Amino acid sequence: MKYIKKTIIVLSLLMFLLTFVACSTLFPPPKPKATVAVTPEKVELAFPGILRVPIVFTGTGWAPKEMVVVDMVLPQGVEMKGVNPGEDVGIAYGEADDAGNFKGEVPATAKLNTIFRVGWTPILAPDPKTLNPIPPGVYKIKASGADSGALATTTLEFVKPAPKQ
Amino acid sequence: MKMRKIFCGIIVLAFIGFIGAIQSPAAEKEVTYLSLADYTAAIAGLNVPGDMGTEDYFKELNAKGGVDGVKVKFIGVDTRYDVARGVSAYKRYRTAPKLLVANAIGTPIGKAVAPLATKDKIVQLVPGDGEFQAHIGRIFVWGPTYQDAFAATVDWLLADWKKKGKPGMPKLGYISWDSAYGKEPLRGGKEYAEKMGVTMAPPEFFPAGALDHTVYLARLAKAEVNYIFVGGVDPTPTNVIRDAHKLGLTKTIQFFCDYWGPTSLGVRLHPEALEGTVIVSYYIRGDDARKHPLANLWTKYGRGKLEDMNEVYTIGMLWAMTFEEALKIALKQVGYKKLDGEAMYQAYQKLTGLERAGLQGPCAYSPTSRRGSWEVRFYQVRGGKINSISGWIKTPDAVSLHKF
Repeated sequence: MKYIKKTIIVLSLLMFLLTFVACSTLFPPPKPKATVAVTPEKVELAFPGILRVPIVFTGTGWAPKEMVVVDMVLPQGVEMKGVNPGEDVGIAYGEADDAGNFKGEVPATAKLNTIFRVGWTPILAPDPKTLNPIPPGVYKIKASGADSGALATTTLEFVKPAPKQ
Repeated sequence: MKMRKIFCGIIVLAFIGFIGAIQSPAAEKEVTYLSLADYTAAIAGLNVPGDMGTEDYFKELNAKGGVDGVKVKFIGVDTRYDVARGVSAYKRYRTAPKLLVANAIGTPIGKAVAPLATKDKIVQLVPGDGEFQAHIGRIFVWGPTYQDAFAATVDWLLADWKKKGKPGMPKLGYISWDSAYGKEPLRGGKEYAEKMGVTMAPPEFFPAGALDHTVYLARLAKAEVNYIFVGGVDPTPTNVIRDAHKLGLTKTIQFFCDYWGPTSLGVRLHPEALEGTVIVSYYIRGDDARKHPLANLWTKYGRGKLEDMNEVYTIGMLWAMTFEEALKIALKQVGYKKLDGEAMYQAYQKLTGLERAGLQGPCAYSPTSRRGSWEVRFYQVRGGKINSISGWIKTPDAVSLHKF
């Protein structure tokens, strides 16, 4: 009787474990984690010099061919025209290649609108009188995949321009 | 005693829940219309009054109960000429309840958002790019394409040349922004001019933000053109013609503008320079627009005096009217529960022949057409006002002449 009881317990345990072993083959291998990095990591708030500095985001582990949108998180108190309080602001985007790598550069319009919060004249020229750079500091960057919903974060630091010699 | 207290508590909670349930209204049926627009600088002259027209028309529609009880939520985002902002905003609002249509009021943002909108199977609206007629998809053009309007202008100038009894064939100049929008009318329009025997001088493109256009105009004058077609969104075309006036070119050369040429407000600022300018338009302008019964929405919703109404307000109402009719069809076909971008896409293709209170020609959307209409009207600046000089004229098909 004791022997039968033990056998039943062992068999039950085996059945229980087998369920997990069998089901594990149904799940695909884990996806690589999406990543994002920025070059350079530190940018001087110097105008018009910033227009000559490429700010480039790169990343891996995204779904093939998906659009990756890069947003900057605005700290409390940093106001931005066209952006509601609490919203992030888009600064770059790019399409992932077949291997899930993406690259996106901050366009000049984003540098003007977002980093320098510039106004525009009626003939579509940036108005230099309205230059209002964002406060220096470390800003959180969020990259998100339009298809996969994957999210990766990094930071981008804006520093005061070096004093002119 | 303790049990009694617990029992009383349960009864009170159940009563509160019951009262809450009967007092909360049934979930409102709503669909979303998204506008990605530049509300600042040059294109603001188009986008701001345009979206005012859309918003006011939807307010009016919702006040009357919506479409079969379904209200329309208008979301407008200021994209500030920034494609990254446009893409990010689209991504943010793509999950808005029943987002059915995204109107990208600007060629670069329209093109950037197109892959996402297509994946989401919603309807996207764009200004006038012929490539969306050449490659049929989910992207619909507001009116006749830019190249179609350019071709209609070629027909107009040929008739004008003949009427004036001039010998031979006229020569045409073209000047616009150095951008995808600026080049679009010539993608098929140039081929149409050649087909009709009109010689074109090399086109002149200038950067957006240029303060002076005399260099470009002088080159066109040197090429001995008889007519010049000016692109750009007002005040740019007004400034180009102002410079031409300073050079004395408006005395000998007839100037044309496209859909985004001077509005009545622009004409007020430079009446002398703009005198005689001809504007090709797919929507009604000047007093035609202000005297239209629907123009009263401008004052009803507190936009100001009627004489200050920018005619582009009309286009906004047209987007909303077209949306309303498509929504009616889609709701009839699938009902509210199953209503999605795909149903709206099917509905937009069934709008062929739709009349929109005479603000624009009949709708030309169909399974094989992405043109919002085929017709244009010609207006001319006379005595500081924009006057109608033609009825609705069907444009030639210039898209088919170009290889996209």
